Amino acid sequence: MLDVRVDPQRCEGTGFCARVAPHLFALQDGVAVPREEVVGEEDAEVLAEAERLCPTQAIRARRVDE
Amino acid sequence: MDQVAVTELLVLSSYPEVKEILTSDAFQQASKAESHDFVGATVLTMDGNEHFARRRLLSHLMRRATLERFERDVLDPTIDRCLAAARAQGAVDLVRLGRTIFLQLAAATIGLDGITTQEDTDNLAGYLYPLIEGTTVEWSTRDHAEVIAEGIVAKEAYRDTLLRPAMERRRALVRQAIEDGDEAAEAVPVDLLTLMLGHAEQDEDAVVREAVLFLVASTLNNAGTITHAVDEVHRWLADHPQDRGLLTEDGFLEQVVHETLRVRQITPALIRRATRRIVLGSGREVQAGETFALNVGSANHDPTVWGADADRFNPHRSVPAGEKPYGLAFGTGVHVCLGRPLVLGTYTDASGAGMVVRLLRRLFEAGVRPDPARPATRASSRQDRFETYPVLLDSGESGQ
Repeated sequence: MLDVRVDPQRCEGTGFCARVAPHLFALQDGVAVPREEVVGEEDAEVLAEAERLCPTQAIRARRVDE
Repeated sequence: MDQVAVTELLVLSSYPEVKEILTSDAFQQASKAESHDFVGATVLTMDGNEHFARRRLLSHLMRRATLERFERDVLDPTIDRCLAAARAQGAVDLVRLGRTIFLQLAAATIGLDGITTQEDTDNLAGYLYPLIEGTTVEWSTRDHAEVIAEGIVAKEAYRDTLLRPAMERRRALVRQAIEDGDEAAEAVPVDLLTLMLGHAEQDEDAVVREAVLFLVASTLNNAGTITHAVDEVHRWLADHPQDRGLLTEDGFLEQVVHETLRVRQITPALIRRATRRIVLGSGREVQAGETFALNVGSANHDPTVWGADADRFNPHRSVPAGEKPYGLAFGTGVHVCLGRPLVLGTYTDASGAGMVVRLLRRLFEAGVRPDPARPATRASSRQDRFETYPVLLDSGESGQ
C-alpha cells in the first residue's frame, strides 16, 4: 500500500500528474489533489512517474504497512 | 515571432498578468523563433502532446538518485578541483569559473564522455560560448546573422567531436543491454543522449538541439546566478555588515539565491501567443494570435506583490502568501524550468542545499569579493549578465 500526498504549497498546478495518472490525481482550483490517500501496489509504477514528472516535487508517495 | 523581432512585441510586466498567462492553456510557447537552429523543437519550445511526451522522457533525469549522483560524483569534486586552482592563483573570473564548474555537470547530464581534464573542459567551453550567443541571439546587441553563423559552426563541431562518439557508445550499450537483459541494463547510464536514443529518436539534429539546450541552460543561467549573487551580496554587506557571519550558513544562502533569482532575471522576456480569445483577470481582452513579451524581471519587481522596496535585494524579505521566494524566475505552468530541483535542491528532504548554494558557500568560505583593480564587464546582450566578473579569493592554505 502507498500513502499519497500532494503539498499544496509546492504544487503549481501543471497537471502533469493528472495527465499521466488520471485515476490517481485530479486538479481542483488549480492544485492537484490525490483521488485516494492510499493506493495499491499495482499503482506504484505510475505513481513513481507522477512523482518524477512533478516539476515542483509536490508529490510524496510512501509505502505504509497494511 | 516568425517575422516580428521580440523587441517589437507588446510587453507585459504586471506580476498577476504574467503569472496568469504562463499558467493558462489559452497560450502557447512562442519563444526562441530566431534561435530555432539551436533549440527549435526541444523541450523548451515544444507544446501540447509533443511537449508532454518529451517532458516524460526527460523526467528520468530528475530521479532523486540521479540528481544525488550528479551532485556527489560530479559537482562536488569539480568544485573542489576548480576552487583549489582558483585559490592558488588568488584571483579568478567568476563567470568563467562558474561556467567551467557547471559545464562538468552539463556534460554528465547530457552524457558527454571523457570531459575530465582542464583541456577537455576548455575545448567544450570553446563550443559553449558561441552556442550561448546563438541560443540567445534574439537578445544580442551584435549583428544577428553573424551570431547565428558563429553558433552554427560551434554546433557542428560540438556534434562531430563530442556528441557523435558519445551517441555511438550509447547505442552500443543499449544494444548490449537488450541482448543481455537486466544485468547489462545497469551499465546503461541515465543521461540525455541515452534517453533520446533509447526512445528511438532517429533525427540526429533533434538530439543535437536538445543537447545544445542542456549545455547552454545548465551553464549560462547557473553561472549567471552565482555571479549575480556575489554581486548583490557584496553591495548588501556594505550596508549590513552584521550579516557577514551568515555567509557560510546554507539557510541564509538559500535566501540569497532566492532573492537573487527574483531581482536579477537573466532573460528579458518569455514569449507567449494566445491560441484563442480570452479575457485576463485584469480585464485585458486578448484575441487569438496575439503575442506578448512577458517581462518576468519586471513582474518580479511588481510592488503590488513584492512591496514598495520590490526593486531592492533583501535576503530577509518576507515572501507574500502563496508566492515562491524567487517569484517567476523559473517560469511557471507546463514550461516551468526542468532543472529547478537541481538548482534549488528541492528534490531531497535531507540537506535541501541546491547546487548554487553549495558553490556559493564554498566561494564565501574562500573570501570571494570583487577585484577592485579589474571592473566587471557586461555581455553584448539585452540579457542581464556579465561577460567577465573578476574576483579575489583568499589562499586555501589555511582554509580547508
